[in-house]
Amino acid sequence: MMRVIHGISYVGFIVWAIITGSATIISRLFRSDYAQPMIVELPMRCATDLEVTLFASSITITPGTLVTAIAAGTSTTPPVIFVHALFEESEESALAGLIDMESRLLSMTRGRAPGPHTDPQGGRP
Amino acid sequence: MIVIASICAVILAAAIIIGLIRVLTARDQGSRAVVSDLIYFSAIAIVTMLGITVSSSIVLDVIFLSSMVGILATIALSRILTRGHR
Amino acid sequence: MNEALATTLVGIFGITGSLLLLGSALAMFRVRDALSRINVFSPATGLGMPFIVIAAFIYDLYASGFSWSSLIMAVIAVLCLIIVSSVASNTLARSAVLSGQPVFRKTSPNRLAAPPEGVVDVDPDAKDS
Repeated sequence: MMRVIHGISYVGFIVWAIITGSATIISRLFRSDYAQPMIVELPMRCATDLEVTLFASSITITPGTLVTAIAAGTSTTPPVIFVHALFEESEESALAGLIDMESRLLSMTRGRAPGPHTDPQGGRP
Repeated sequence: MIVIASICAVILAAAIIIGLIRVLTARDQGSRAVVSDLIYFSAIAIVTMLGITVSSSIVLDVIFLSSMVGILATIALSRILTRGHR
Repeated sequence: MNEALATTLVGIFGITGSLLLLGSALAMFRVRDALSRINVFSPATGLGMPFIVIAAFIYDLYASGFSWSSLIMAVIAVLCLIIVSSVASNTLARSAVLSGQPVFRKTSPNRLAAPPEGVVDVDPDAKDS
């Protein structure tokens, strides 16, 4: 039952993200500094194939973010996703948005909120 | 209704022409691939508007089928970009 | 449904969707590399084409009345557009990276450019003299 509620709120979140992201892309057409592209790296908390696929599709359908590569996980390291972001101010804000989306997605598939993210920088300095 | 559909078709034709200019001025193959995707969807929308103009009854069927097979052109182009590797 | 209401709704949804496609085409001039172009293309398929589908559905509602098959067809078309365009963008971006398309040099930080910490990058094609 909790999964249904979380699923409905997740669909609403995705639709709202599509609308606001499209408005961002269209409204920034007339500014001189259009975009600041960056490729960030996020070790995922998603474990199964279904969660990884849903997460990658959700990132790509949101305007402004795009999945460029997914590295498979091993027995000790989690799978890593590489995201191309256009309109974020810094790497931290881009990662914060992605982690928020991942938490909502995992609440939908697992029925409860996941644990906190351990290493958001992915071991990079 | 005909006036509305004509306005939409003109806007979509402008999008296609801008995409073709982008193809002419692009320097890498990836940009040309994504512009081809834009032209595909614009053409579907123009066909839909044409169907509304001539009062056709298969407007929804056209957009339903073409939205389902739209992935094939993009995947073929991405296979061409990587020269056959997955 | 009378004709004025149908014309107004078709006009709102159709012109908004067409303008979103045109905006995506214009945004392709403002960015510099293939990855960003794939990125700014998603409003067209994520929001513009569903609006065109809604306009076509309202026209169908006006022309031939309500039927469940039309509603199911429109809903499946919108879902297909969203899911299919997402998967297609993933595939295209992956192949653009794999085939070595140039990435804009001001992309910063670029986490794909360097190997992670502690990994030794051995070139198998290097000539061992």
